Amino acid sequence: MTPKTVHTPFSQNKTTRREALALALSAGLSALIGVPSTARAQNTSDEAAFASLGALLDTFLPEDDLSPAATAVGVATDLRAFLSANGQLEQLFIIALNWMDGLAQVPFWQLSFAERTEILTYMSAADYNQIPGRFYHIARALAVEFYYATPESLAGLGLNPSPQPEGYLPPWR
Amino acid sequence: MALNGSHDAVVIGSGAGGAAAAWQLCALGLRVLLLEAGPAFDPVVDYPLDTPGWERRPFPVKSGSRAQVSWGDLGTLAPEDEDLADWSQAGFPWRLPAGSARPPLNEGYFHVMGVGGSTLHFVGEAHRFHPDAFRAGSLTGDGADWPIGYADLEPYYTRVEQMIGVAGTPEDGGRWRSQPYPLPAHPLSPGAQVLLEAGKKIGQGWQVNPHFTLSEPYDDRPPCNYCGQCARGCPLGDKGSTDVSLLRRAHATGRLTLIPNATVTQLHPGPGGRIERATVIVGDVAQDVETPMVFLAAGAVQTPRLLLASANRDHAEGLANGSGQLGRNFMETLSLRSVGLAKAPIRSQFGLPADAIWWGPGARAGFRLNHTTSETGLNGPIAYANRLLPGFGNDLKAAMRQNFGAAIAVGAIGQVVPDARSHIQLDPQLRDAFGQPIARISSVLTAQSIARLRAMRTAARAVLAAADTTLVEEASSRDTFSATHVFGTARMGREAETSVVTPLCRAHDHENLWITDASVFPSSGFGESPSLTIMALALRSAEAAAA
Repeated sequence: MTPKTVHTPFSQNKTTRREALALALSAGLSALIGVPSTARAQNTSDEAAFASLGALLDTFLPEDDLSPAATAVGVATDLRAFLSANGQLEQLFIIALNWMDGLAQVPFWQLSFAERTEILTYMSAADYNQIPGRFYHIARALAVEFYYATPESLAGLGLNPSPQPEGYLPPWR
Repeated sequence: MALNGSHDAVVIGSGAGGAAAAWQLCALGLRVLLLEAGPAFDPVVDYPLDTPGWERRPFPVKSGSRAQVSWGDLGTLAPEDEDLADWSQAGFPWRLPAGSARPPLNEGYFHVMGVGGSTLHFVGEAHRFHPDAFRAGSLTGDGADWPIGYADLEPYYTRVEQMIGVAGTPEDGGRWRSQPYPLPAHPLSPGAQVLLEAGKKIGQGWQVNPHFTLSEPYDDRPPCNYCGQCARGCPLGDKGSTDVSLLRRAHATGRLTLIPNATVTQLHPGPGGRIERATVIVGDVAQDVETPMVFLAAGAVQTPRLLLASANRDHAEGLANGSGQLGRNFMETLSLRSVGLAKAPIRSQFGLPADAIWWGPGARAGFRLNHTTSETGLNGPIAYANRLLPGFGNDLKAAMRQNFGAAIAVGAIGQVVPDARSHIQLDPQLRDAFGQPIARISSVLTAQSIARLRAMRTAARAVLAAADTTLVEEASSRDTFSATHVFGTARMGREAETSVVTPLCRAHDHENLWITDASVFPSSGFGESPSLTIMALALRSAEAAAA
């Protein structure tokens, strides 16, 4: 009775999500020590923190010649709805987005695309046992999951918007 | 709903074994009451593969469709086995450190409770056990022999294949056949074709994998249109899950009464050992039903749980447990996956999942490989981006277009040898919604299993290297417990002192209790998927019971 083990998307995998979050939060605020930062005060409200969510998503998945940016296909809205149902994960986003807003004299969403890319490049190589590294991987996984679930993202991949009703009849070469 | 007085047999569970038993009994003229603990699934509504976002939706979970279990000892991640640790090029880089307890995969035990059981989300491999698999203990020195042989099951294998409609080729890895497959083989996917050619270079004889999925119209069902999403549920009905095949045929006899959401909480034996009644809860109402015959087919976890939970003054250790073997000899799924990335896309996202197989290097090796690209989800972009292709921004989007369709995944499943530490028990504290103790699963990998995982990995890597791919992901049972195929907790044997059921799968201790699921398997085979063998055993038992 094989499979049955189709890879479970991060958002659907409660165990992995729970473990990832526990590890991320166990890193604690000490994770921020040693991170290059201009140490802007982190007193931003929770809602204000999410002002930079769209910029983060569009840095992960920008518009190009074939497909739109993440926010253009509703990823920010979908992700917010998902986070609102996953309180601890939402807290991780608030903490991390506030931290990202404190890295420069202006919040993350006001930075240029090149500057945002530089920050994400740093985070991608950061220690994944600390919040910047951990948040990069978790945020990227969710961004990718919601983005590539949209028909608009499939341009250039040779897929139909959904597997049914047409299926994919042979020949496949 | 009054359930008494209109049936000759009670079947518990509607998956591979329960459905096969129910059909056979109905076909022989018996009236069958089939009690299914889970709900019915509507393929059109519950498997919405015609809407975007499909890759985010695994097989649906409905109210009552998952059994609760708890975890005992699943072993630890030994430091000397770190070479087997899971990794992927773009997955989360963190993992549990050596010395940690081995966790269950995802939610752990995810067999479907519902009309059709786990055939609803199986991929549809239709495997006969190898003739040597019935003598695995004698041949390899590990595990147990079956009290029956391939020849005993061959006519029933054939009958199931004809009823459901199995597609395959005559070459079947040494598994002789009295009849050809009823349907021609499916065309091989691009990924499978690569593996066949690569295998020739290194002596791995890859071939068509026999499948329950229809390659042509059959049994009033349409052929597969290769959407590649078998494990998410088949909306067309071509996959051969029991709800659209065996149960539909049983219904057609007019002798089947199927009750979904009907949970059996107790079996009650009389003074002579016969099971006289079963307590079943439908909705909020508990009632006792008469049990002229009982066919228990709840799987290798829930079957021993129910029998243990039915203990009474005369059977203090549970029903059918005179041998003390009930719940013991539990065997999990020993599995491994290696994924390679070809230098250019080959359109590997297309084709039937699990369409090619290499039956392995022989009995002592005890494993097989299959083509598992679609089965493991690598026919969707989310899986590529989150497992295979790191980075972000325009580089990621470009990499997706350059590489989507280049992944080739090889899966391996191997024999598990029973171990005293691996068993099903009643949880001493936790109860389900009906106040019944839930099953507690303990399962520890032995040194033989770890060695077999390494042999499986060597073989999988070899064919991927011969296919000129770059390794990008590996995962195995070393890091997580998986309950995809589970066996052994009501072992079949000739001696009542050492086994739970007879060679015909009748309980030694209860003359009208038959067990028709994988809990009766004395050994797990050489990695073959078990559903066809479960069905064949069930037909054989039902035929014997009705005689």
